[in-house]
Amino acid sequence: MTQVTAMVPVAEAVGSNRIVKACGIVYPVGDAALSPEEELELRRKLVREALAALAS
Amino acid sequence: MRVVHYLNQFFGGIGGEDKADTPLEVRPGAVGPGRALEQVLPEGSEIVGTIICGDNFAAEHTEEITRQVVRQVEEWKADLFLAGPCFEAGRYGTAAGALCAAVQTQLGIPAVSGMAVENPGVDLYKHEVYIVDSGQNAANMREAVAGMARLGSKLVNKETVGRPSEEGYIPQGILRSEFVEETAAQRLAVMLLAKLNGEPFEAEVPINPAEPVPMPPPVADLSKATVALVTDGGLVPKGNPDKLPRAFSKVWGAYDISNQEGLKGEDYEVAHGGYDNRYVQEDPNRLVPVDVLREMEKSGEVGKLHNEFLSTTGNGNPLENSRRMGREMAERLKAAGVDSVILTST
Repeated sequence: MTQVTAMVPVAEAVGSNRIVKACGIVYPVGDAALSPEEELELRRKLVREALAALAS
Repeated sequence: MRVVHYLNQFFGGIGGEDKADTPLEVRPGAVGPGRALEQVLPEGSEIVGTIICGDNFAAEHTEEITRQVVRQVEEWKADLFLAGPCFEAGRYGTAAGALCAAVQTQLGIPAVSGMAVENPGVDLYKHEVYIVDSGQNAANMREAVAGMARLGSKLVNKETVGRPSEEGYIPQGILRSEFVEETAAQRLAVMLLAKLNGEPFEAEVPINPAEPVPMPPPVADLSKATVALVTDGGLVPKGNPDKLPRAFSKVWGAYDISNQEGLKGEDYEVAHGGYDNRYVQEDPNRLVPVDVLREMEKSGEVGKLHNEFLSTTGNGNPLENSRRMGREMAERLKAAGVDSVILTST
């Protein structure tokens, strides 16, 4: 399992061992400040990071 | 005694979750709970200033606000830094703990916070920061601020700090040698009798409940793997069929996504009461990224996106409860042949 979270120290404290830093608390894999295309690209990037963590 | 007080946007009177991204601001004098605090601080003390920051801003810019707070506390020539009480608010507690730790190490003045035992800030900072047990909610405000004021002034006056149970702070995992009259065997017998009679007793060596989580092996081939999405951000189909609560959830749900290219706001709602839900409501893929994983399934980057996502509300949950739900979720996913999980947390 990979945990995607903006609060990395909390994830570490509870023993999560594959962690990807999320974009924000209110949108872990998104960013409302970006255009829809940019946001989708950001989400692809974060999900790929999470997948890369799963495979390593 | 000059005191600087830290509050989140809620207790600082700025607003609720919709204001959680408020950047750090500084006010002269006491604000909100600071007024109650001033009444219980020793005579001649004053809250010279209050620092307020939104919970999300603090969690997302911890290093930046830590620098600002340390500089401000120094400028105000404080003798004591107090943060909270934060009760069960996790982001608030985490920020308060980080700020107290930074102030006391960088400026050499004492710092005290107040939190509920379950607050994630406790596990992160209890070893280095005195954290008064504030109880779970603001109904305990008066006792919580009194505890913080009492302990804070003791530290400023360099008085000896007693045991956690005497002073009302959360145990820091420190063992201190003491001379006692009874032998270990006698003390043990007294504790055992108390336990058998259902009476309170204090263990001399507390057991740390945090267990290490073994690291599962990596996924060998993602292009053949089934990936499931799980979230503690409380996304549920419209109508909330499993009645997920806003906090302290004992339940979780599994929701079918087999025919979906992505998630639409009109089909879902957010049960979680601990963050501003507007953005996820507008586009649930921001929490449960079905759109992107469906794309990756088509392109062959991943073998399969599992046909349901699992969801619960991760807000103020006791560890025991979370462990049980995690076990149940893992069992369901394993039985369905899922190889790997992406968990998104708010």
